[in-house]
Amino acid sequence: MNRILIPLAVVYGALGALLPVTGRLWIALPLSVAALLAVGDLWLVALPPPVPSLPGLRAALAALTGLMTLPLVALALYPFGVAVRPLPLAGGVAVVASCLAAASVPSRPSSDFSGTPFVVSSAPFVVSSVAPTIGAVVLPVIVALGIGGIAVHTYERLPHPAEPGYVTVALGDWAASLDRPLTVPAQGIYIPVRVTSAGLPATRARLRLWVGGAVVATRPLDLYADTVRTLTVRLPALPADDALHPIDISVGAASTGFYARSTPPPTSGAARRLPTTPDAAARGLPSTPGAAVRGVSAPGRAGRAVVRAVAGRRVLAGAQGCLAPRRAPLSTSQGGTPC
Amino acid sequence: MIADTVPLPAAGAPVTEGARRAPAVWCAITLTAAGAAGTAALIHSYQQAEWERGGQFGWFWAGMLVFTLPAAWWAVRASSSARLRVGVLIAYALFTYLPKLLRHPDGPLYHDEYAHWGQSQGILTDGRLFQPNPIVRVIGDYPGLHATVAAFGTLTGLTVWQAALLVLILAHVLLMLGVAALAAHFWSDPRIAATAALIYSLNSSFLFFDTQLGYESLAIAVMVWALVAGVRAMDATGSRARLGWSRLGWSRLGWSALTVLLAGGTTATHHLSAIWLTGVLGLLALTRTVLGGPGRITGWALTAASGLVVTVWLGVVAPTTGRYLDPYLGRALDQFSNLAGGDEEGRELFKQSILPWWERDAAYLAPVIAFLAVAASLMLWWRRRDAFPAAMLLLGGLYFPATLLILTPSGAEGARRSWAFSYLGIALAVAPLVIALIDRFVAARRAAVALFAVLLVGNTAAGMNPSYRFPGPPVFGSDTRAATPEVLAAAAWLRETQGNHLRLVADRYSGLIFGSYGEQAPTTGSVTFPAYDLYRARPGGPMPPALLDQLDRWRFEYLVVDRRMAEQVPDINIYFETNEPLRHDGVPAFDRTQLTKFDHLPWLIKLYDGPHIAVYRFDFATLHSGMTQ
Repeated sequence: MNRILIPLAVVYGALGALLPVTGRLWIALPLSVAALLAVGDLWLVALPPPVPSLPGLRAALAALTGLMTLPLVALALYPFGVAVRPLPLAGGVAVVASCLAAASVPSRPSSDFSGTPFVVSSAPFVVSSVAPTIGAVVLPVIVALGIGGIAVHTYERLPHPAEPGYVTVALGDWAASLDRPLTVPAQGIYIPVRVTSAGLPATRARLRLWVGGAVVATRPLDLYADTVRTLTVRLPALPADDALHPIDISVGAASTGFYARSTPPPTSGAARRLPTTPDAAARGLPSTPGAAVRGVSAPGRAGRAVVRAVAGRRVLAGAQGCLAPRRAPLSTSQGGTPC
Repeated sequence: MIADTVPLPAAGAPVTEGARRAPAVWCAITLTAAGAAGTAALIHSYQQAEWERGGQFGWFWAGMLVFTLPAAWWAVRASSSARLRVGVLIAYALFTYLPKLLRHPDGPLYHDEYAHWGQSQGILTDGRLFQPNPIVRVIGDYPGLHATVAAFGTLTGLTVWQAALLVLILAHVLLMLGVAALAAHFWSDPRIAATAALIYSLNSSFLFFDTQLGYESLAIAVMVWALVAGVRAMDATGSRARLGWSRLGWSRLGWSALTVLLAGGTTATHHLSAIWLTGVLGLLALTRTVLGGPGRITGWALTAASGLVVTVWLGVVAPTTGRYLDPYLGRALDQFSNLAGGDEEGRELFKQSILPWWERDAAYLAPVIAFLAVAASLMLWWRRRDAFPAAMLLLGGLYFPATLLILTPSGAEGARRSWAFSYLGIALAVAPLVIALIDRFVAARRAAVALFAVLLVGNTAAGMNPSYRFPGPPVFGSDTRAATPEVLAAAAWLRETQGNHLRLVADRYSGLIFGSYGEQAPTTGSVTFPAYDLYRARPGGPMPPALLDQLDRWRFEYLVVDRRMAEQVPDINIYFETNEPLRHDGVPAFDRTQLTKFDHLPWLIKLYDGPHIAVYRFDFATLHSGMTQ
């Protein structure tokens, strides 16, 4: 009877102690392992003794059945719409253990098994025969974990070659949510742009605004090592021809791009306020008709820069770009730039 | 043939406790020293590879053999105790997990690992099973591994990766012990059991494939133990006289129930392992029926039960599995028949491989050695014609036709994957022969050491390409070296600014990162959904309207373009998927204009751009409005 009651008590005890501490690794891990080994042992209580041609094999089978109890419980919970969470899992494992114990009590033959590593039988010879087996299993595990742990620790701390760096440019804030051609108001619009430099030394690149394939504004941009810079680029009014114009904002060889057209004649009550200031652009508050806005971030303040269109290039009527950079360490954001 | 008792020690002078422990102490000391030295050599090997200094292959195998050969000696040595053999097998299994662990200790690295890691992460996050996976579609229908890892993680507080490592290390040890248990059931000598486990460990999947975070890694251990339970159920009849009828019925019922339970566990975890399990149970029943042996009815009943579980699962829970597996077998057989008929050129093995000559030679020698060993075992079997070795010889025999399939492009992967299963038959059939030979001939011991090394090196070389085995600089078109900081940053940017679970079109390598770390739902295309035609379209030419309509209807939102596709040939010669209609003749399949044409299409918004990776948003409204430049 002890062969059933002891592992059952271990299952209940370990699961009961586990629930208040789930997620606290150093307590939850041994309790989980104990519960699973005990329930694995219960799976085997009903079985006849394995042929003891190699010691420790029953323990291995108990470890396997204990482990497989987890997906079994998860699958059993699935038809009831119960998620894989600590409480239902622990409850499911306890139910499985109870069922196994209940099924084993009436049907089990009276002649008993030899001992297992998990349960200390009252017979002294069982304890003495089990102890060396435990040693044969535990010793290599401890040694291997020690060597493996040191190996991983050492390998991770050895010098590794530097990985390739990159500069990226992306539409920022509300502009990252553009999902159709942008409609540009008569006074122009500020486009938030995010420039990231990682793994490269500080350098200077050329920031350009292109409209219809022509550069309308340009300025040098300092790219500091491992920083994210948020820029607002002023896109001037477009010709009122209702045509789609390709817009590109490039930093070095990288560029973002979208299509835009001029504002159509206002309709009654349909017009929405446009991002005609950089702060507003950074907040994403006013969206153009046709530009979806999501994921707004809080703005701040930074310096000011205005760049004239490059001479000699074709410039659209009234087009004048304004490129205003801000700088922030990598993975942080910083506020907007009046321009 | 069936061992019901522990072999007794030979009669003679009484053995003192100290004398009994002395070999164990020496074994512990030597293997600890060998393990430390081997580990140091493995680390040095990976460092050599990382810094491109060369010599990584030599250091790797020096590290492996400095431990595995002494361990094999202790396990097979005639005077080792049964406990010592088990301890050595556990140590051997733990050491052979190290190459994969050290390869990337912190997270997923291999193609399938990204998929399984993401799947487990999904269960840990939202607690739901059977969610579709964007990288390997079929794995959502096999939640055994993911549920185990996620459940273990949620109970203990371990991360998905940490929980997976514990589960997989345990599975690796259990696989080794399971093979030994299976052998120990039939051969009365624990040496043969240990030898069978060691021979099995020489298969091509043991070091890298069946140690990765993949469903086969867990399922194959469960499968082997299901076979252990199955043969015990069949052989329960053999103990009738000793046990009596009541005990006998209980014994058979108990082991049969455990077999079906583990068959269910295998099926819920991995399709191929479950199919192989049913097949092997069928072979065991068939050979017992034909050659005579106990438990024929039990054998057929277990085969039917396992087959029923697999059929119901494939038919009801995972009906798409057939379509997923078809390219690996059906198309491979087509290609093989074309190859035999001279209509098609086969794969050139080790084409442009950086493997040293001795690894390649060992890879060619390994099937020859296996064939000779199986042939010799067949002759040994012919004297007694027992059922179990017959079943194992038949199972092992499947290794050889699968080896021919490696000459076909579609069959190569399937062939490699089958070896982990067919090698079980080779190991169990050949182990008694090995022990018989090394007991009779001193020269056979030296030969066994050499053959062990050749098989370990050759099978591993044939089963896994170098970019999976060794670290190194980023390589375009390599699953294991695709996670460059740029791609990771692009995936992170998309998740942070646009959200997760978004449908996007991508190449294989970007798709891995966007679909795992990026938490998105990428597609890389297929014959019925040729998303790669977007990239193939010529600049200024029409885009396939049916594809665009499909993308719109299925709510695809983003397109990821890796411009390296126009500059380099992928390391593994795949851009999107295995059967893609692209050139694979050493020249990039795209030119630059095909990949930069997206910058000029009014229905695409270029949200993000880097040195190689660009992310576009589809604007189907503009496309359908017919507005063009």
